[in-house]
Amino acid sequence: MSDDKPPTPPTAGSGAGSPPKAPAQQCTTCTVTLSPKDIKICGANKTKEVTATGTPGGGSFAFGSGDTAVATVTGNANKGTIKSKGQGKTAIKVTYNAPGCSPCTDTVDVKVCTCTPKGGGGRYYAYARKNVAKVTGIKAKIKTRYGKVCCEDEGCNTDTGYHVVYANSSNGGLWAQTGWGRERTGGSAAIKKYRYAEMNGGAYKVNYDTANAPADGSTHEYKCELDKATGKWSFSYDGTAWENFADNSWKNKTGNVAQWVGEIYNKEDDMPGTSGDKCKFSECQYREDGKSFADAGILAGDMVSDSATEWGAEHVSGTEFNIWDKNPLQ
Amino acid sequence: MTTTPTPISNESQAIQQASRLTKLDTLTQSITAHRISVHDERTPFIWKHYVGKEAWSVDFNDVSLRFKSAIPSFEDKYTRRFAVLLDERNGQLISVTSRFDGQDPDLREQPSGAAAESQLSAEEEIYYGLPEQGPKLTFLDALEVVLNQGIGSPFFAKEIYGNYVMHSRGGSPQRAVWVITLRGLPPIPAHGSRGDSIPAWQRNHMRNVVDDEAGVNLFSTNSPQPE
Repeated sequence: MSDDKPPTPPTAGSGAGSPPKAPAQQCTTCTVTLSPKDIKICGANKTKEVTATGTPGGGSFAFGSGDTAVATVTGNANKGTIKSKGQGKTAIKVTYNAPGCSPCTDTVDVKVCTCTPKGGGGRYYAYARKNVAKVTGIKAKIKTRYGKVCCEDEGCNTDTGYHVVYANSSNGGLWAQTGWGRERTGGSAAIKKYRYAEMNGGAYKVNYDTANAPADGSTHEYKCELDKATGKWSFSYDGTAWENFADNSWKNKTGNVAQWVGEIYNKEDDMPGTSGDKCKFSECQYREDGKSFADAGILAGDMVSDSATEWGAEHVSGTEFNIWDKNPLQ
Repeated sequence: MTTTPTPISNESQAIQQASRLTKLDTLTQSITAHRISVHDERTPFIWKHYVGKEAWSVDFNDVSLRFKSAIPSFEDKYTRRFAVLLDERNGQLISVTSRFDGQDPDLREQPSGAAAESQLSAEEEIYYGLPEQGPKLTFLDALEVVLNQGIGSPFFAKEIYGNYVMHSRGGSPQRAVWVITLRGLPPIPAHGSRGDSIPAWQRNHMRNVVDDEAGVNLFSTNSPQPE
């Protein structure tokens, strides 16, 4: 915003010689205002329009973006079309040049959020994994550290997003697992917390126990146990059985992998835990066929993070490790 | 909303009772009622009591779902017809059904009542019968609870089924619940690196169980699976 004296235009006047001058035109105040002020865009390559209003009239508008990796803007008279490019925050600036005035400016904040699932139906992970023959049980105590899912704060997204944390035993395409999660399912902006039990055999079964979601910050024991004679997996929480799924494909079968896992759906979803309050797995154990539960014996080399710059996976001991998000959503 | 069981003797009474239980009359004015003999009831534990019995079927046509708590301007993907089945002896709600008329190879038939019952029994879940008193939540109320607390969006479901039953799971005390089954959903992303390899027909349905008294979604499961 600025004041300036305009040049005096020549005007026709009376008398001989030089024409008389018209009264000087003053630039009183140059102002420009962008509207709306708070712009949130869900997803890349989406557009939103801003309108600039400048006084005095008759000037021209120029639009610019503070970070074109987040959003670009194209001006058309007093309209700016903002196009989202990638997750982040930036400012869109308009500069107004009114006749006879110094340029004046205004800005609006733009926040762009994106939800990017991994290609090929994959997920993103931070976890510990052991190859173990004949697994018939898996368990761990897991701290509940709910994070956010992509575009949650913007409230304008209805795409799937989640993070889950669990103890799992697998054998190829067969698995059983139990833990907790926080999720937005496609078609609704609402986000739900739950503990859950899941098994894939000849059929896939899952129970999202939304009424018994663990409290943030609390630690609970999650356990799956297989009765291989019947193919029945039993799931318990703090020692109390709460679900079971039976499947003929699990009869006389055992797992060959024991793993304790943090998993997210979109790369922008928070991996549970933060650097200041990590998601802690403790008392990690598995059971081999015919034996009792035994300590997992996790080694530093058993720790995996799909991206060391994004998600931490920190070995603590043979039964304990931490995971966290290094760049959680703000 | 609690109602005293009342026999239904004509179309007007049937429409009135179905509207009271579901509030679907707030979404359409195209409502018809007719008396039928029940022949394809698949609600586990309930079906055997009604197959072959006379009932009133109230059809709510041309329905597009709307919820106050939904994102503004979010529109139902489908135009639906809901059939509300009422026991003519006492006006109790047997079922609410909205089927999909189009083609979707991943939308398999629901399991028979007996097959569903077998799966649920193995998972220690039982429907004991229909509550004597009417529900506190309407069917649309229960659907909105599912939208906000359950898994799967009613807006995205090609088919929607509703039952109001006495329910128990894992030996818990019986309580009145709405069972809302969403079918023909976009496949729910199963957890795990091989989650998307699970056939869509096993992941495109979700049964949400809503506590009628508390208005809370208790749990959501894809059991029973189609046969």
